[in-house]
Amino acid sequence: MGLFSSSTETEKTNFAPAKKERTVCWEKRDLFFDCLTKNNIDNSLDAKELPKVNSECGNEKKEFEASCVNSWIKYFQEKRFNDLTRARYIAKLEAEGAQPIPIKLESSTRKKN
Amino acid sequence: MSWSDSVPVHMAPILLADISLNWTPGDIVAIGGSDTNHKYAKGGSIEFAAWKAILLFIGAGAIGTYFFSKEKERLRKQREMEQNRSVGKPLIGGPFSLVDTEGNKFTHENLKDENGKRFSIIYFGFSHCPDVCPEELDKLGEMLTELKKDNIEMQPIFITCDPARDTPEVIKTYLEDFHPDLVGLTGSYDQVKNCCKQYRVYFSTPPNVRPDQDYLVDHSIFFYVMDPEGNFVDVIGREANVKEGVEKIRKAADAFMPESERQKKQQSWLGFLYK
Repeated sequence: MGLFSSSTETEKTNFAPAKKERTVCWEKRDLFFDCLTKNNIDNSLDAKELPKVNSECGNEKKEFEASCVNSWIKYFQEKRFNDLTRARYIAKLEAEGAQPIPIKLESSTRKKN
Repeated sequence: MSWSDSVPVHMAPILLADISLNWTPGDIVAIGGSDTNHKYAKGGSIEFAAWKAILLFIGAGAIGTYFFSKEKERLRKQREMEQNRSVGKPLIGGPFSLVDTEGNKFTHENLKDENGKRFSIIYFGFSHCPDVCPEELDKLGEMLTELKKDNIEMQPIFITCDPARDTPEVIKTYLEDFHPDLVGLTGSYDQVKNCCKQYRVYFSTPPNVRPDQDYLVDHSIFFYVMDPEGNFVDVIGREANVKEGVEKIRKAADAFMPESERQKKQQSWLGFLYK
């Protein structure tokens, strides 16, 4: 599974996925995630959701997993869930009237008194 | 014929004023002459001279203001950088020793440019990075293209946080997807760790992984801008877009003054401006 083991040449030197492979992986990921969103699945790694993921987005998942490296497959799904959770939390805070504190990285002015 | 006959009525006040200013005995004699009327015939000439003076005045003022405010802004930036400098040695950056993709040694000395022009921009990442590094490196490429248009010389550097897998060969292949100027650096685990420490870069490789394994490396995401003397000047975070990043570097390049020149200016009679 994954890109490394599928190619014998990369067995020795562990080359990173090239731009082309990366782009394909990202495209398949987006298709898979679109399907998850459509079916209201937040955490695709959650064991309780797995049957639904496989029945509704089985094909997209298979293609996604075939186009990406193992570590990325897990990473992207975790990231999606984290991002969703964060976005919802922010939306909730804003609905309650919270104001964002503007924090900007301005190193050149930080030592001004 | 007296001079007042030939002078239009509306000119009279100006003429009077003019004459009262230039009242010399010589003028009295000349006024009676026929061709002296000529002197006042072109009524506009006095106003024209005044206009020229006003224009000159405004022009000189505008040019003066422009240069003054520009120079003032430059001095302000320099003073600010000077203040930051005098606080102490910058906390970011320091000696390191790594190898580039051709197997040549690359140290902090390579950040210095003897012509005092070339800035360096350093990014820490790893080649198996899923999404952040490629995005940031693409952003870097766009920044470099913009800066080239402004003739700001740059040395872009990619330093791996994953020396186990990122050999010079792997990095070389990886960087082919990005800006051609990029210098890729790696080293032994300790060398990389030391370099990351100097730049206050956090990274964590999962324990007990073999180079042929598939894993991710967690690391901090920043671009470090280094001046032609190898000193840290600014940091560009992930939230900054291409335009903001370019602006920061441009600002640093504008304000940069080599050490020798800085000392000279401080010692000159205008030195108080730089303190």
